Amino acid sequence: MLTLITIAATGIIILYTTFFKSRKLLVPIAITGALTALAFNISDWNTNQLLFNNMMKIDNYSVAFNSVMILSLILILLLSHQYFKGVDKNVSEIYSLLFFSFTGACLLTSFNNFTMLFIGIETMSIPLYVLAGSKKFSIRSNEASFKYFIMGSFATAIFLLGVALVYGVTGSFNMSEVSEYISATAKISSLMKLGILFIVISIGFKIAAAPFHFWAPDVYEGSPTLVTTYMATVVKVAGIAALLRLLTGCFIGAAAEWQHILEAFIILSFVIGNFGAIQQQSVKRMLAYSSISHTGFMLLAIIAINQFSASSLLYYSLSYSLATIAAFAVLILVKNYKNSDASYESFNGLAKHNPFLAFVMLTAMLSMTGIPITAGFFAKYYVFLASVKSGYSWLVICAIIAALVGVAYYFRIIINMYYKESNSEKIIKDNYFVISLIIATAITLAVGILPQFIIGLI
Amino acid sequence: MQDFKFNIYDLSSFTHWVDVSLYSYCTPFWAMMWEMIIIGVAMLLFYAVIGLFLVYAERKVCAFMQNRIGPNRVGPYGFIQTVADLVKLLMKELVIIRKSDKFLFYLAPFIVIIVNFMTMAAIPFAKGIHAIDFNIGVLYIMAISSMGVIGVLIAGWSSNNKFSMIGAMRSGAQIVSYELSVGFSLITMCVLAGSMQLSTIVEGQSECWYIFQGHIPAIIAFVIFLIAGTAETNRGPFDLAEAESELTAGYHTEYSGISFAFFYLAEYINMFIIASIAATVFWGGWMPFHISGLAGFNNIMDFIPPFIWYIGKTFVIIWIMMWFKWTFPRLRIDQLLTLEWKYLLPINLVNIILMALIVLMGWHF
Amino acid sequence: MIFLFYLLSGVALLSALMVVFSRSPINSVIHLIICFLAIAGHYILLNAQFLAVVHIIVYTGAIMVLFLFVIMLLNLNKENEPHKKLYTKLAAIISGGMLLLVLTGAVKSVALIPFNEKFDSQIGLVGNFGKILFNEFMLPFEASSVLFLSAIIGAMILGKKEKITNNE
Repeated sequence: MLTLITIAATGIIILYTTFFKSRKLLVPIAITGALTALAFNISDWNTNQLLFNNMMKIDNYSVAFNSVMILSLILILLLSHQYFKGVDKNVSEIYSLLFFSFTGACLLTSFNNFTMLFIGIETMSIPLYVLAGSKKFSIRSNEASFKYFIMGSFATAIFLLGVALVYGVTGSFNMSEVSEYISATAKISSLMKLGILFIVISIGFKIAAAPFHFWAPDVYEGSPTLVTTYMATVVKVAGIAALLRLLTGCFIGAAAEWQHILEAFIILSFVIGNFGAIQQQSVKRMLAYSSISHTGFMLLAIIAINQFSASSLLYYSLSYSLATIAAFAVLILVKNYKNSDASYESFNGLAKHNPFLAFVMLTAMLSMTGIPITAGFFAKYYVFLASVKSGYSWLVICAIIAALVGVAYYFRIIINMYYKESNSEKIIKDNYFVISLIIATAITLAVGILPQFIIGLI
Repeated sequence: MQDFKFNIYDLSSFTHWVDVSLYSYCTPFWAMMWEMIIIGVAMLLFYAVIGLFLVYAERKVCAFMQNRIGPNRVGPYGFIQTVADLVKLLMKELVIIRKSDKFLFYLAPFIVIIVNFMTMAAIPFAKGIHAIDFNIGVLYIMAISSMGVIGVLIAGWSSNNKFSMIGAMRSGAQIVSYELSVGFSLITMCVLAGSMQLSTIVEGQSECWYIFQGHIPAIIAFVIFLIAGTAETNRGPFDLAEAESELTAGYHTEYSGISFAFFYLAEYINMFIIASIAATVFWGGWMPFHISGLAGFNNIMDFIPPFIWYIGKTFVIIWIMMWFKWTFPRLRIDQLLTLEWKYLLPINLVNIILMALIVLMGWHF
Repeated sequence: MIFLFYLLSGVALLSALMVVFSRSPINSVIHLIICFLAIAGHYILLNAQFLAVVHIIVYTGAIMVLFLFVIMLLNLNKENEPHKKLYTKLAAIISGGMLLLVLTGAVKSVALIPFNEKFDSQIGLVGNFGKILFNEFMLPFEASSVLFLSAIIGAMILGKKEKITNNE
C-alpha cells in the first residue's frame, strides 16, 4: 500500500516543482520517489495482506512484478533527463503523468476486485493517451494519441461489458467469490463465458496481443520514444501480470474456456509480430512489432497455468523490459543524432565510434532473440518449460519457429552496427543515460548467467 | 371516505383527502393518472400566472430603478399589460427560416419549458404541496436544471444564424461552469442539513433557518448561490447569451410569436426556480421565521400561512436578482469565466470543508 | 411497472438506433440524450435514485452539452461526413452481426437467475449508497481521484495554447 501512496505522492510533488522552475531537480526527485517506492515494495515481501475489504491483495507475486516495473521506471527516468533537454514546456506535468500512470500499473498487479482492476486499467491508460500526444506539434504524435484514445476507450467499454456479465452471473466483484462460484457450479453459464471472453479481449488490447494489436505499431511509432519505452515495458508487464492474476485467481475453474482464446492470441501474435517486424524499415516500428511477438511468448507462460507460470512470466518480463529499455535508449540517441526516423541504415558503423552503445544494443538484441548468456535465453527456456509441462508442445514448436524468425530482424541491426561502414562520430550522452544503460545491460547479463535468483522467487 | 378539512396551515390533509377519494372512486391506475393530470394542470396554471406576474414585476422594478413609472396604461397600474403582450405574441406569425433544422428549431423552446416543469415538480410550495419528494431532491433539481442549456444550444444552432450560434455557445460555456458553483453551494447546505430530501431540509429549519444555523459558511454559500444562480438563468450581469447590444437577441434572435414567448417565459420561471431553491434551502422554504425560545413571537409568525411565507421569501430573492440585473454592467466572457473558475469555485471548495468542520465540531446553532 | 420497463427499454433502444442512423451529428446527440434519460428512468425503476440523478448530471448535463458544444464549434454538418467504403461497411455489418448473434445466443441459453433474497431495495438511496461507497469501496473511490487528477493535467497539457517554436 505504501508503494502505491509513494508513487502517487511523488507524482503530486513533481507537479509542485513547476513553481521552482528548476529542471535539475526533476529527475532526482522522481528517482528518489521511485527508489522509496521500491524500498517500501520490497518490505512487503512475504507479508500476504488483504487490504480495504479485500480490494487489494499484496503478495509475493505483486511485490515481484512491482519491483520489475519500478526498475523499468527508474531506468526510463534516468533516460528522460537527456530526452527532455530540448523541451521546455510541461516537462514536470509529463513526469507526474508518468507517475500517475504507474499508480495504475501498481494497482494492476495487486488487485483483488474487478473495480480495482478497472480503475487500475483506466488510471494506467488515461495519462498514456496524453503522454502519447505530448509532442503537440508532431502530427504523428497526435495521430498516436488519438488512435490510442479511441481504441482504448473501446476496449474499456468491452471490458466493462465483460465485468457486467460476470457480475450478473455471480453477483460479486470480488475475485475469490467469483472463483468460488465458478468452482461450485458444474456447468459454466454462457454469459460467464462471454464475460471472460470480453475481459480477456480488452486486456489483450492493452498488452497488444495479436488480433487486437492494430493500434500498437502506429502508437509506438508516433509517440515520443520515451513514452513508447514506457508503453512497451511497464504497461505491457502490468497488463500481462494483471491477466495472469485474473486468470489464476478468478477464472482458474474456467481454464478450458479461455485457453482457446489465448491459443489464438499466441499463434496470431507470433505470425503477425514476426512477419510484421521483418517487413519494417524503421527500427522503432520493428521494435513495436517485436513487442507483439514477445506478448505471444509471455502469453505462453499464462496459458500453461501451472506452478511455473508466475515465475517464468516474471523472468520473461524482467528480461524483456531490460532489453527493450536498452534498445529504445540506443534508438533515442541514434535518432537524435541522425535526426532521422531511425531506419536500419542509421545504425551503420555504430560499433566503430561508439563501441559502448553498440555493445548495449548487441546485448539487447541478443537478449530479445534469446541467445545464451543473456537473460533472454533463459526467459524463453522457462516459458517453454512451463507450457510443455502443461502439454502445449505444439505451441512451443511454433514459438521456437517464431524465435528463429526473430533472428532475421534482430540480427539485421547487429550486422549494420558491426559490419557496415558509415562516417558517424561519437554520440554525446549524459551521465544518467550511461548509468541507465549500464544497469540494464549488467542486469541482463547477470540474470542471464544466474537465472536461479529470479526464477526461484515466486 | 374521509372528512374534508381545508386547513391553510397544513395542506397535507387536503392533498391526502384528494388522494384517498380518487383512489376510492377509480382503479389505482386511473387514480394515478387523474392525480398526474390534476398536478399537471395546477402546475401549468401556476406557471402561466407566475410568468406573467414576473414579467410585469420586472418592468416595474426596472422602471423603479431607472426612476421611471413603467407600464401604467392597461389596467390598474398597468397590471394587465403582460396579458395584452401575451395575446399579441400569440397572434404573431411564426417565422419559418429557410436552411434551418426545422425539427430542432421547433423542439428547442419545448425542451426549455419541459425542463422548467420537471424542476418545479420537486419544489415544496407549502406544507403538503409538493409534487415529488425525492430522496435526492437537491441533486435532482441540479440535474434537471442542467439540461435547460441543451434547449438553448439547440435553439442557437438550429437557427442557422451567427448571432444565435454565438449566444448559444456563450450560454453553454456559462452554464456548464456555473453549474458547479450552484451544485457545490447546495452541497454545502446538504452537509449542514444531513439530507438531500427537500422536505427534510425544510423540516430541519423549523427552529432556525439554515442561513442562520450555518452562519459563516452558509452565508458564503448563499452569496455564491445567488451569483451562480443568476448566471445560470442567463440574466442580470451575466446575460451574455442574449447580450442585445452585441448579439441582437442571442440564441432566440430568430424566434417569433409563441416560441419566443416560451423562451421569454422560461427565463422568468428559471429565475423563479432559482429563487425558490434559495428560499427553500437557505431561508426555510414555507417554514415561518422562528426564534427558538420566543414562544409568543413564534406564534405570531405561525399565524402567517406557509404558502405566503414561501412566496414572500421567493419574491424577496427575485427582487434581489432583478436588482442585480438593473444595476450591474454586463461582464465580458473572460471575466465571467475568471469569476467562476478562479474565485467562486475555490472559495466554494474551501467553504465545503469549513462547513464539514463546523458540522463535525457542532459549531452551528 | 412492467409497462414502464418496456416503454423505457423501447425508447432507449430506438433512440440508440437513431444515434447511429441519423445523418446530422446534432440529431445523434439529441437521440443520445434521450437514450441516457431512458436509462436514468431504468435506474429509478430499480429505486437507484442517486445513480439516476448522477447519471443525468454527468451524462446529459455535462458530457452531452460538451458534445453539442464541440459539434457546433467544429460545425460538423452532414455534407462533410466522410463516406465509408463499401467493404468497410460490409465488414462492420458482419462483425456487428456476429457479436449480436453471440450475445443473443448467450442470453437465450441462460436460465433466469433467481431473485436474490439478500437484495435490499433501499440500497440505491443516497445514504446507503454513501455508506457503501465510503466503507466497502473506499479504495477504488480514492484511487479514482488519481485518475481524475491525471485527466485534468492531461487536458491542461493538451489544451494549453503554445506558440510553435521554429527551432524544433
